[in-house]
Amino acid sequence: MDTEDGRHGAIEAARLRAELTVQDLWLRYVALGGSGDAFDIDGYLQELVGLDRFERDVLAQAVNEALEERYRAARVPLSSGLSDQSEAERLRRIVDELLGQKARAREDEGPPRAGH
Amino acid sequence: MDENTQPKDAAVAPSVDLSAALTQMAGLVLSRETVDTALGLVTTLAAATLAGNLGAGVTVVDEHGRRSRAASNRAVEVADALQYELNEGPCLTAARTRALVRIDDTLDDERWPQWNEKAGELGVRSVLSAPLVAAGESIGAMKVYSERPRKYGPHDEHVLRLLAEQAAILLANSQSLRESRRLSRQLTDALSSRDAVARATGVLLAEGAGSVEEAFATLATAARRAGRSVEEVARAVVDVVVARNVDSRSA
Repeated sequence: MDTEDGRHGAIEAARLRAELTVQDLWLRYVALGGSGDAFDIDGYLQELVGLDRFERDVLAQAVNEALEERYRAARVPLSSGLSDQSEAERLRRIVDELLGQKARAREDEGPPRAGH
Repeated sequence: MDENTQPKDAAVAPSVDLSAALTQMAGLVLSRETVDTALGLVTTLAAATLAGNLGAGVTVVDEHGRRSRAASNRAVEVADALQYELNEGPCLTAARTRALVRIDDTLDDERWPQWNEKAGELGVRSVLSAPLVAAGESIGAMKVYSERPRKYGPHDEHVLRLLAEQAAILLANSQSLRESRRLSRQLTDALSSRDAVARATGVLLAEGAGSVEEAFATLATAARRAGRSVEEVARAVVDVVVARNVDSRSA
C-alpha cells in the first residue's frame, strides 16, 4: 500500500512553524475527519510508521490551516479590504458552484441564486 | 484458557477512541470547583487555622510551569511574587526539596539573603512554608507569614503539614479537573467540526463524487479558493443544501 511520499518532513516542519504540539495537530486532524490516533500521527511525523494517502492529505490540510491561521492573524488589514459580507458571498458563490454543477446537469433547478 | 471475552461489537466502535476522554468528562458535572476557588479556600483555611498571622498564601505550579496563586492579603502577594522574581525564597525551596521550611527571623536568616531583606522591609519576620505533594509530585507550596519573629514552633509546623496534605489532594484534583474541562471543550469542538465535514462529504457523494477521498479533496480545494477552512466550507455546503430543500418544499 502507498503509505509514504516523503511529506512527513514537510508536515513536521510546518507543525513546528505553526507552534502546534503533536496533540494539537492530532485534534485538528480528527476534526477534519482523520481516523489515526495520536500515536499514529506522532509515529508518522518521526518517520517510524506509514500513513494512508488519505490520512496524509487530511493531516496536511490540518497543518496548512494552522499555518494559515497564524499567517492571517499577523496580517495588517487595508483600509479598503473586503467586507465580511462580500467574504461570505464569495464563500457562498464557491459552494454554489460546487453543488450547482450537478443540479444544473439535472435541470431540476434554476441557476444558483446570487446573494444580495 | 479464558473464553474470548472481546466485545463482539468492536468492529463498529468509532475509529477514534474517545472512551478515555469521555470517562474523564463524566466526572466534570459532579463538581464546580475550580483551581481558583480551591486556592481561595485553602488560603483562608491556613490563615484562620494558624492565628496571629500576617497572612497566608498558596502557589500551585502545573505541569506546564504555569503558576496559580492566592494570597490572603497584599503583603503576602508581594512577598510571594518576590520569590519568583528573585528565584529564591522559602516556598521555592519547600516546593523543590519537598521539605517544610521555617524562618524564625528574616532579619538574621542567611539562607535566602535577597528575599529575606525585601520581605523584612514588607514587615515579614517569620515564615512557615510546607510543600504541596500529590501522588508523589510536588505541585507547589503553601505558607504563612507573621510580622513577629520566632512566631512558629513545632505545633504550627504540624498543623501546616496536615493542612498541606489535604490541600494538595484538593488542588491536584482541581488541576486535573481544569485540564479535563479544557480537553472536553477541545474534543467537543473537534467532533462538531468532524460532523460537519462528514455531512458535507455525504452531500458531495450524493452529488456524484467518486469517493470520500475525492469529496475531501473537493472541499479542500474550495477552502483554498475561498480562503476559508475546510470546516467553514463544509458548514456552508450543508447550509446551502438545507436552504434549497426548504425552498423547494415551500415552492
